[in-house]
Amino acid sequence: MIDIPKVVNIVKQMNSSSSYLLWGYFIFTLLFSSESLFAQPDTLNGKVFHEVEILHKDSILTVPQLQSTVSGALVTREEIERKKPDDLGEITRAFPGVFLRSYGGVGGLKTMNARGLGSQHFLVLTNGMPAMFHQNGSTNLGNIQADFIEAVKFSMGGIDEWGIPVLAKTHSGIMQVFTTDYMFIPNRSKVEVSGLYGSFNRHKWSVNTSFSGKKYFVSANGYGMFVGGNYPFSYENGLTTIEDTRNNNSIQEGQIRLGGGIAFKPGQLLQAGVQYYRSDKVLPGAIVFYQPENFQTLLTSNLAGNIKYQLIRKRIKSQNYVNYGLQSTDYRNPFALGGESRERYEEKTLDVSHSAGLDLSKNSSVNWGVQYIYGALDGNTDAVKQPRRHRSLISAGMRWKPGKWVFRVDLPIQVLTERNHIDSNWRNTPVFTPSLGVNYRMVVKKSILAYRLSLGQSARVANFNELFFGQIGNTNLRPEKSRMFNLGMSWQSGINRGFSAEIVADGFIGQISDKIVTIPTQNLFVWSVRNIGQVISYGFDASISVSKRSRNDRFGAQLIQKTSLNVSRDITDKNTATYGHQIPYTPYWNYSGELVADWKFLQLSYEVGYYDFRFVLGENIAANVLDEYWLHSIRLSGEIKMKRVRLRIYGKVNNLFDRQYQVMRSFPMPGRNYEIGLKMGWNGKS
Amino acid sequence: MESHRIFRGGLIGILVLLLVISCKKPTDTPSDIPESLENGLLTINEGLFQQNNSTLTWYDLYSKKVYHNVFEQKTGMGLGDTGNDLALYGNKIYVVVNNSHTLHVLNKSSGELIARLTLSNNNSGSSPRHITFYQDHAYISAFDGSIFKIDTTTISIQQVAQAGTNPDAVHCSGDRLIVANSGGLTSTGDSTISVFQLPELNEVARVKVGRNPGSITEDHSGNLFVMTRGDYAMIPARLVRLNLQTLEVEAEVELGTGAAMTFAAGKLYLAQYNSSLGTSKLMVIHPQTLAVEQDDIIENLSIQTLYGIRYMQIAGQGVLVLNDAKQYIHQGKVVIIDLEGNLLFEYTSGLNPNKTIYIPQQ
Repeated sequence: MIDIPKVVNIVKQMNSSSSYLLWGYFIFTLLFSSESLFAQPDTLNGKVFHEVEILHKDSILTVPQLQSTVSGALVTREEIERKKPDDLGEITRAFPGVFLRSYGGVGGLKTMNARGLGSQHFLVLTNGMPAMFHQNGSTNLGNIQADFIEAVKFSMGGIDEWGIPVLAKTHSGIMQVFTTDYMFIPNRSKVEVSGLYGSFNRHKWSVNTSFSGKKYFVSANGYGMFVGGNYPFSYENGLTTIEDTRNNNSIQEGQIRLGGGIAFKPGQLLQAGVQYYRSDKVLPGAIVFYQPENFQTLLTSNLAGNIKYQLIRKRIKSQNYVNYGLQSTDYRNPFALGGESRERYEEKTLDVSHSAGLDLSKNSSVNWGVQYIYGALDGNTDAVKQPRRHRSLISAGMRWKPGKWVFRVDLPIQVLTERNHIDSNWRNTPVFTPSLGVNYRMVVKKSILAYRLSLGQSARVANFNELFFGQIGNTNLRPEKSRMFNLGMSWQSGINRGFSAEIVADGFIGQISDKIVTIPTQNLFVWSVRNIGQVISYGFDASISVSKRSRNDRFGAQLIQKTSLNVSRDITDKNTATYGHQIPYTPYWNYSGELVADWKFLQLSYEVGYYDFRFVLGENIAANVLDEYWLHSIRLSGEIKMKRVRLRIYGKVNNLFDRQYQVMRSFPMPGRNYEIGLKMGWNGKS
Repeated sequence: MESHRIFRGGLIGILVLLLVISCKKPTDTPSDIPESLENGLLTINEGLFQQNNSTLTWYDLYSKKVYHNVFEQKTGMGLGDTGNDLALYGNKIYVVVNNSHTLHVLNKSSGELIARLTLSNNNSGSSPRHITFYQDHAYISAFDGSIFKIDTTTISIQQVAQAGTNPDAVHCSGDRLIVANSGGLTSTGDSTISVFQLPELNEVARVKVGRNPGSITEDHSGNLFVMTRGDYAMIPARLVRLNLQTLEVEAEVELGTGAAMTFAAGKLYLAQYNSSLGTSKLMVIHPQTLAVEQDDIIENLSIQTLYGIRYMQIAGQGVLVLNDAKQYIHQGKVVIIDLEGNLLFEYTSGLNPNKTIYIPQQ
């Protein structure tokens, strides 16, 4: 069995060059634990499989992990409560193979990449509706707070669910976020109030309420957050270590969300939601040697509203929505060369989607979808050029589930029509992104073993900045294409005397072509965007989880380990110095391990993460290396339940050993930091 | 049971395979530190914006050995962000670092740091670009419009004057300072050069030469040459010749693109970079007629992005020193050729080399 003290000891002793030790340990654990798991006696009293399922009761139509044809993972409310991540960006750390690009931690931009694919290959779906930013194509995961997230499901290389918009089927990775305010559980009501205080003068409060009757529900939630910033850090300037404080990174941020729905007939649900988000951040920018500190501000506001209609009948089901978003950004630099500069942008999105599925027989179904998205960008500078985009998507797919098998085919196609106010000609771009998947699962000695295979093409289209902005824009850009093959397995034990285990592993190989890169062309001040990159990517993601509960259920322990290898080589041009080199900001290895123990109402967790070295530029030389780092964190929480009232108190220490590190060069991250929080909730029947 | 064995065997096989292909972290091999900076070539490598990776590369002409990152080796600290200019004047080496808003001054012989000066206005960095000298003062252009007058003895700012928009190249001609007002950071651009009387640093004239003026040089016949780089799109680069006395434009010729130029042995050598093809060429132009005498004297050399060019005398021989930035994201190289374009020698530099100077034996 796994020797937990030994695990902790090994992890503590690991240093920056110990990735081999780490890997050796991982293999050992995997083999050792699997040996004991496969040797389970056939004396289970009941066949209880803990398949991961999202708890939502209404519009979330997920496929259990063991029937999935694509690789992926799920983070549930339980894990979010345990880890208390700040935002969606922090949640993505839980997914093996995902690398979070964090530009400075507190208030900084957070995007994700995986398998050699940049952030624009990934789509965030909030309650089934995509978050879209036409100007730069990426979602800032730091702007989506974790407070009201019920679950996050990450899928790579396709998607199994039928009820999602077609746009999701054109992306390589999909992050489905489910929030509490879109849940409809009849005759249930709740009120939750929470607050926290942490390092860097961070304080936050939030309120989350929902009331539902037999056929209706209303919900309201909101939060306010204030961060003073000013965290100490150190960095290496040549051979000299500089101690400094990262000033000018304060944040004021808040959000209000209102939702509601009516189940006016059996199987039919009409929902509506509106949200307003506003943040005012001071941006410190990159740390530049010898330079006086930056002071720039970014004011962002986002107003969004949607109406969604869901129909579920015996053989047919459909999801339909209209979603409108208006985002304003106001960037101010009082110390710009030549005087204060102020750039204001306004981005509008209208998204209309219909998707449906029809069961042809007990084991087969077809699905289809139609979607139209309109995007517009305006700004106060000539460089913006007021681009407009019409995006039309259509998809057809099929699911066939004979016996232990699942087969999936999806055939989405989209046409993008774009222009700006200077060029009156519409630019048309058709994109076809088919994918297929297979799953085979079987019961072996009261455990479930499933294999999956997927093969798909996806595309990330050029954003407005890449197409049109100032001189750097290039209207001849083609979509960046990705082809990915994935082969994976999942294994779940039954529960035997309180013991259970799960192993998930996926290997992949893929190719990215027509990679869109921004490079200097005339000189270092004149850049432009080109389709010049080609990348081959391969590796694997794996996780293993074992847990044990005492017979009286008073004590429990869980050990979760995740690791990934990602080799992404530039194969653009044999005559260049970067041919065959690992692409920038793509660590080879990631690892995270977490030990969770709970006793009565207390829960303690200790987490360690390893992030391998990476290159900041394409040439794999020492000058371009950004060092690997280990991060440790510890959390303690207690929960008291008194009838319908629940009180939860927690404290956590992040970066326990005060590691000074950078995820992105010139953006130092916070050292050791603390947080305490309290949450009080009332649950009742309406 | 059989399937378990197959599964476990396959898993072990995959893991062993992945271990084998584990990737090794490159590390800096400890290199020698040059004892002195004499009889060699010193190159400034710009690096990339906000990466703090500007460096100096030293090439010892006697041992033919390359020393990378000598500034850090000599001073214990990095050069900074976006190093733009490098000059030898008297017994000091001056290094202008744009995005660090800094002037580093080094001892010519030892390479050790003498002084570091922040160039700013109203607590905001000025983004210095280029440096030139007249008598006991250095003159530095900065993108915020400033021209700094620096005392070369005390290394202190004596005076700050204002030129046009985003001053770039500077050139001393007798007691006059010529400044190219590039306007390169604005959408409307600038099209003028400013002429300052020295040592007072009074602007005495502003002359329109064409959009985005950059490189400046002069010949021995009273001609001033300015390369205007256009807008890199609709407005092409041009070579403009002015009379140094009257400051009137006497002739000009369209170039298409232009990067840098130097005057050598009665000819203008002009570097061109074609971003569409990713190729460079070095033209030879007659200074009086502005006619192209030779279209490309480096066609047999593998130079991708000709980013800097300077004429200098090394051991009595006139040579052209070319800086190749390659694709701007790889280590560049320094190529030394004779005036006919024959390769003499070359060596690897840092990222984006843009200027090389010769430091003679003491």
